[in-house]
Parts: sequence; structure tokens; C-alpha cells
Amino acid sequence: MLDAQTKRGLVENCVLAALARGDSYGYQIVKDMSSFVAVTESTLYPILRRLEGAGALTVYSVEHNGRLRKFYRLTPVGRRQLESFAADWDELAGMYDFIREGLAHE
Amino acid sequence: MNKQEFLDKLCRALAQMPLEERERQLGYYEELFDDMLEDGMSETEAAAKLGDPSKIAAELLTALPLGTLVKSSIPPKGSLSALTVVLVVLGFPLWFPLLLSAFIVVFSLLFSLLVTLWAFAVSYAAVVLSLGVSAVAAPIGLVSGMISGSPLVIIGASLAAAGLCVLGALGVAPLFRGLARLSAAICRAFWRGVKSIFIKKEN
Repeated sequence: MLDAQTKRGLVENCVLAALARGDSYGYQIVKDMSSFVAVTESTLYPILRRLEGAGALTVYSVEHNGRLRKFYRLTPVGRRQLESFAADWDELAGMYDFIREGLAHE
Repeated sequence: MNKQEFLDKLCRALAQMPLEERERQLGYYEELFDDMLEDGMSETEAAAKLGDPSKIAAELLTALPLGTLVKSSIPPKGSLSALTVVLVVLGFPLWFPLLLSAFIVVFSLLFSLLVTLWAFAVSYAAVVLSLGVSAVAAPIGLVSGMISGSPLVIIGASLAAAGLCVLGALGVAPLFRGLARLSAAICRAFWRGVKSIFIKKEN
């Protein structure tokens, strides 16, 4: 069982990863993530705000069908955060492999 | 519920939120709504997918700092009649102690609950530790002649204590971990409760 803190960190990095694929907007981010992560439109917003506050992403508006759409872009700070997160998890992945192999031996 | 109803409801429910933040929120939901419509959903479907506006608002308000909530729950200057002000001021010796004691009662109940649970956990750990100590001390006492009695009984008791100690020790870490988690959850719930006092309910 993951505790809430770990889970929040994971979801946050998934949002960064969604933006690492290219700039995106709220609805698209949820659609891209929803098959991997349990995130809703309402839970995404606070995460975007927190990441914006931390300087991990910037926001700009683009006109679309006569209305404005807010796009989110990963900043170098955000990319670094994502990279260090991935490096931490590489270590965990090694432990996980060790555990799986141990289980395979019965 | 259509788009306008959804946004109106959300806007009303967020009345306590600072204006700039509220407009950002409404803008976000309006954009989502439009994107869902463009994606082929009906307004009713989109509203259903986004969820109940009052629930969304309650969640957003609880995330605000307590100071903001307290400030926004105080009616603006001039909206109170002179009589109300006089009553509130004259009644201060009455309502303030009542409010304070209600707060203290709830706080001390939760506090004593937590202290009791932790005291149980600590005494459990102490029992486990003393079992371990007696398991080691009994054979030493026997060899050094400090305790007399049937060696068989003493060795037996020592082994039994060792067994119980090992068994009990297995439970110590999960017990403390579970208790720490429970304590954190209770503190969070208490804080949310304090905040919810200052969140106005829609009538």
C-alpha cells in the first residue's frame, strides 16, 4: 500500500511526464494520463497550480475556436525534477527485480 | 445540469475564495467544459463527468489556509446592524468562553484518546522487553546461584519467556507504524474539522 505522500509525488511526476511529450492543456493531460493514473479534472488542477508555483511549468494561452485555452509547458526546473525522480526510481526498480527473482525461487 | 448552471453553482459555492483565485478556478472548469463539448459530450454528460460543484468547491475551500477562511467568513463592514454589533460585544463574556470550551473539549478528547493509545503501545513494548530481559536473566541467575529452585522449571520458564518475547517483538514495529498513521489521520481530520467551521454552507 502506497501512502498518500508517495502517491501524490508519483501523480505529480506523471503530469510532468505528460508535458515532457509536448505542451498540453487540462483536458488533454487528463485524457493522456487516465489509462495509467487515477486522476480526474478536479484533482489535476491543484497539482498544476503547485507545479506552477514551484516553477516546474509555465502557463500560456492560445486562441482556439474563439476562446482561450491554457497550455502548460515544462520548464528546465521541471525537467530536472523529472530526471532526478526517474533516477531515484531506477534504484527502486533494481530492488524490485531482486524481490521478483527471490519470489521466483519460491 | 447544463454548463451555465454548473458554473453558476460552482461560482456561488466558491464565494469565500479570494476573487483572483476563484476566477482562475472558474476559467479552468469553463475550458474543460468547452473541451468536453468539443469532444462530443453533451452538457449534461460533461457536468456529470466533472462531478458535483458543491463537492468540488468544498474540496477546494478546505485546501485554503485557515486565515483566509476565517477572514472571508466574517461579514463585511457595514452589513451588520448596530443592534447586532452591540449584542455581539455585550455577549462576549458569554459566547467566547462557550466557544473556547467547546474547542478545548474536542481537542482534549482527541488528545487523551491518542495519549491512551500510545500509552498502550509503550506498555506493550515494555512487556516485550521485560520478557526478553527475564529470559536472559533467569539462566544467569541460576548459574551464579542468585536464584534457587528447580533448574528445570527455571530453564523452562526462561525458554517460554524467550518465545513470547520473540513473538511479541514481531508486533512492535507494525503496532507503532499503524499508530503513527492513525495519529496523523486524526490530526488531519481535526484540522479539516476546524476549517469546515469557517466554510459557509449553501442554503
